[in-house]
Amino acid sequence: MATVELSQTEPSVRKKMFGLPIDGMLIVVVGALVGFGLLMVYSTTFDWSYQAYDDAAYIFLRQVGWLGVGLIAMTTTALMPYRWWRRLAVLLMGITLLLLILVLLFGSTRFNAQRSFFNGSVQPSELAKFVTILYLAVWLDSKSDRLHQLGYGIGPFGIIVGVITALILAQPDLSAAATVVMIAAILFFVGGADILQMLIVAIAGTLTAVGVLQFYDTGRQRLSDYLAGVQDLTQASWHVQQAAIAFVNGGIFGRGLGESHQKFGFLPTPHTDSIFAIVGEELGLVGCVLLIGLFVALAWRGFRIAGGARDQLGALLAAGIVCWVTLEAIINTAVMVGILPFAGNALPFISYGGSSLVVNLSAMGVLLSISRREQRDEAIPRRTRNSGLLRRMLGQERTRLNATHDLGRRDRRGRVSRLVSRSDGHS
Amino acid sequence: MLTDTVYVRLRLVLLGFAAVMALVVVQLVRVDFGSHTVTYFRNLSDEISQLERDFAPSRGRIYDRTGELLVTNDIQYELGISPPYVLVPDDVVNTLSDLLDMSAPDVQAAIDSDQRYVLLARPVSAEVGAEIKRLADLGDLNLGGIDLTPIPLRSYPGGTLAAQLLGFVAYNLEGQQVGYFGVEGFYNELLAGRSVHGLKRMVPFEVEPDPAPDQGTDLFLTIDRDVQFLVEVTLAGAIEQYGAESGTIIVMNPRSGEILGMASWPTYDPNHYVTSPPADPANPAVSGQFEPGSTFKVLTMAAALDSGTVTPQTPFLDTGSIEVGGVIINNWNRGGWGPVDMQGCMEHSLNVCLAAIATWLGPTTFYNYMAAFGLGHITNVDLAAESPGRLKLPGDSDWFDSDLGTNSFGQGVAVTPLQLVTAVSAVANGGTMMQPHILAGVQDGGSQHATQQQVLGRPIRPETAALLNQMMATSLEAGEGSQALVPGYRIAGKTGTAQIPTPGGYEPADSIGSFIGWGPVDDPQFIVLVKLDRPSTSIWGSETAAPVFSQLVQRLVVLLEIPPDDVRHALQAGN
Repeated sequence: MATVELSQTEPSVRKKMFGLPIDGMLIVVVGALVGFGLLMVYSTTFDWSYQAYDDAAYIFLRQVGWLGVGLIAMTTTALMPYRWWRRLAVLLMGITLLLLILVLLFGSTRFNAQRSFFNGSVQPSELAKFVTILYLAVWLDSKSDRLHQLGYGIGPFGIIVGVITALILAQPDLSAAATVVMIAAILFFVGGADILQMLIVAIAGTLTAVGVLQFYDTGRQRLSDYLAGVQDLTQASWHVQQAAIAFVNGGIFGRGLGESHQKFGFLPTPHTDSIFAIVGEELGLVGCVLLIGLFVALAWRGFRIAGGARDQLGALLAAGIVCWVTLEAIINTAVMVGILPFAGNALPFISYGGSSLVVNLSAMGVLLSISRREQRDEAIPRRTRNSGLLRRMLGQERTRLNATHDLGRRDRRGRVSRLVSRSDGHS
Repeated sequence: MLTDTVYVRLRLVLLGFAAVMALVVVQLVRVDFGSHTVTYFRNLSDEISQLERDFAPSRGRIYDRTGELLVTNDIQYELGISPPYVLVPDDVVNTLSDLLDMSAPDVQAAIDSDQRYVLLARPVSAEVGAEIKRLADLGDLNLGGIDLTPIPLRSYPGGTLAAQLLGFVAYNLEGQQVGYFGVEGFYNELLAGRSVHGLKRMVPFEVEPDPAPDQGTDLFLTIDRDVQFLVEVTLAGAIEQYGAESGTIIVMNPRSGEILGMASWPTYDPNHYVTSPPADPANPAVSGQFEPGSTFKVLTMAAALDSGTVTPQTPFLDTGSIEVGGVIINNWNRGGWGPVDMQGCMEHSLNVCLAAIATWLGPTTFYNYMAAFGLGHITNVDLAAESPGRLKLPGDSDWFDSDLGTNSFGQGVAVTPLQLVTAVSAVANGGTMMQPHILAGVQDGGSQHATQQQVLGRPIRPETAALLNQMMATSLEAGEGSQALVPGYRIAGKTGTAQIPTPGGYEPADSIGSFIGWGPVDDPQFIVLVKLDRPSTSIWGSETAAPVFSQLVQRLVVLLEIPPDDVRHALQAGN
């Protein structure tokens, strides 16, 4: 019962932050990233915002508005028991597929592609990445027993991912499609696919990639630019060269916040895909390392949450989300420094863009929702120290937690009774 | 247990991710500190963030002698697209494809470009630019991303007025305005001002005020817009009336050398030199050479009188032909006039008589005088592309003894219209040729400078000039040039009918009819050359150019406010 004492003192600190026993560290990291992002969004948009709308803060305020939406979404997903996704996943997948079809039919065209609604504000492909993770996590969780039957494991998985990827490719948005495939493959791997299955996925993925590159000129162009740039950065694509100018001019400490020169029309899309280069120019190597550090911290928290998840669905969801956000960050930054071929991935939380921010924050909410169990289960040993006893404990915990949770949501009678009911549960 | 697998494999994936992130950091350090990349990208940065360019001042304007505007500056636009600022592509595409001669896909391609600026059209007229601005201000359409950069446009409010005199302005390969021909060409450097070479910085933080170049100088010309208009209208009328192919009229003040009006036909509109380029953009009044014919006899007679070889009363027996250097010379009517004096020779324009005078002068004296009149040399008038004419001299490989005879009545010698006017102006101006010029003064910033009048030469003595002046007036009154007379004013002058040389001979049918005259005789204030090329109604200058002269001068005296002789004499007597 000493563990019970610990669990009551330790989470009490966290309770002050949200009133909920959740991963406060994750909130701090995400808060830092979002704050960082807002600074950079204002820095990169004030000029064209002023020129296009006569108001330097117009774009920034739109992003603040999206942040508001995102925080509401995050709170919702954080309060929602993550097991609800089991039932919601199919519905969400249906909506996403519908949106992907609608955007092809009615979306607005930008940069030769039909990717968004309302002149670029809403991109369903961002949602598609998240929903794919939810859906696959739920699917893997429910089919885990039969996953190793080769055909059964790969067939439906391939169809789900294939349909979404094809719809995104039709926009066309190579980067988003590739990201979906990679996330799916990682999730498949993390979810327990065996070597042979992974091999099949890898071969299929490679063949698809090769096939796609035959079809899309942009893709081929980017690949050849990349191969030239990887050997010698001075031969890289114009975009990467412009990013390199930003990094070089930033040096160690940068020109100072807001002082970037490259954002004035030299570096394309400084507020979205290229924002990392502007970080490098304004805040220097120090700023870049700090930002990467924040993503490492995010990955670390996500890893801990996944490890501490009290059931397989939670672990899969957490793993999918942390891999996805980290992967996006890696692709974006690696592209900017020329070690990956060009891709239009946003930098999560930092880049300007409503759908990306809202979807990322919703994902963080899901992570928090998973972590909420972890905080309450301070006594649960690490997965590495897993045991049959633990599993039994988990079984017990599930029922108890549902009870408290339902109580907390439906009944606002105050904390005293909740604490009482908790200590009851523990005792 | 699957959850274990998840944990282990997730750790594996994240470790892989961490490795890539470390790689990103390593690459960042390489970019920031690799000496090769740093130098390269710093240079590239300088290259793209500052544009070397010339900051050209606005070109000087050109006025006539009374301050009436002849040439000024207007604007037109360079139209480009800044793709990042295009918010509603459809509006931009529709508007531009409507207003410009440009297809919608071309505009769309510009919008989809990843460049920060795409040049669409240059130049775009001020009207189209204003329309785009109006539509953008209306607010119904979002035309964000369309960039209109004003670029200077040289504007000639008078259209064809004084076109050849003024020249035109075009853009050279560096995109600078350069004047060609006429005043624009001759005074290009003065008008252009001094452009400053500087850096145009593209980063807002580094933007500095554009360097202020020295403004182009405003020019005031000696021409009078009304006289110029009269000259052009008269010329156009004459071309029409006499069926001439082309022609030139020059009005000059013999006292000062100021060109009051100068026009040639056909002309062009310098506003539209691109769309309808002139066949010959040069100014034929200073660039075109022709054999002057009988008008040249004034100069031969001046030489003979000045050298004392003849007096107006020197007798001559015209037999109708004379042989000089093995070539037989006939009169214009192929007849012999019998006994005449020098006055008669001029009255009847006798080639034989003038050829004889030339032989009396001898080649040395004759050509010394001709050179003194400035023949064979440019007059140094301040107009671009002046031709020197051609005066063959003894000793030249193509000079023969016979040339002395033919030169005496204006054959075998090539002059420009302005050269002839300048040479003959010596007779009108007491033996002194004034430097012909077009620039009356300049205004540069706050300071003004008037052009100093200069003497070009004194080929003959004042007494000779006075004598010849009277001779030419008398011969006009008595001789066959009567159509040139102007009621109320005593005029001196000489007709010319010149054959048009071809390689190895002369054109059989066509001629150049000309008349050079000045007045009032006792106080010459204008000298006018009328030259009509290949008139179809008559080959004789006396029947084409002479009446045009009269018609022109009758109005010219009004514009120049020269009272009729009797009124003027009465006024002078009253004073």
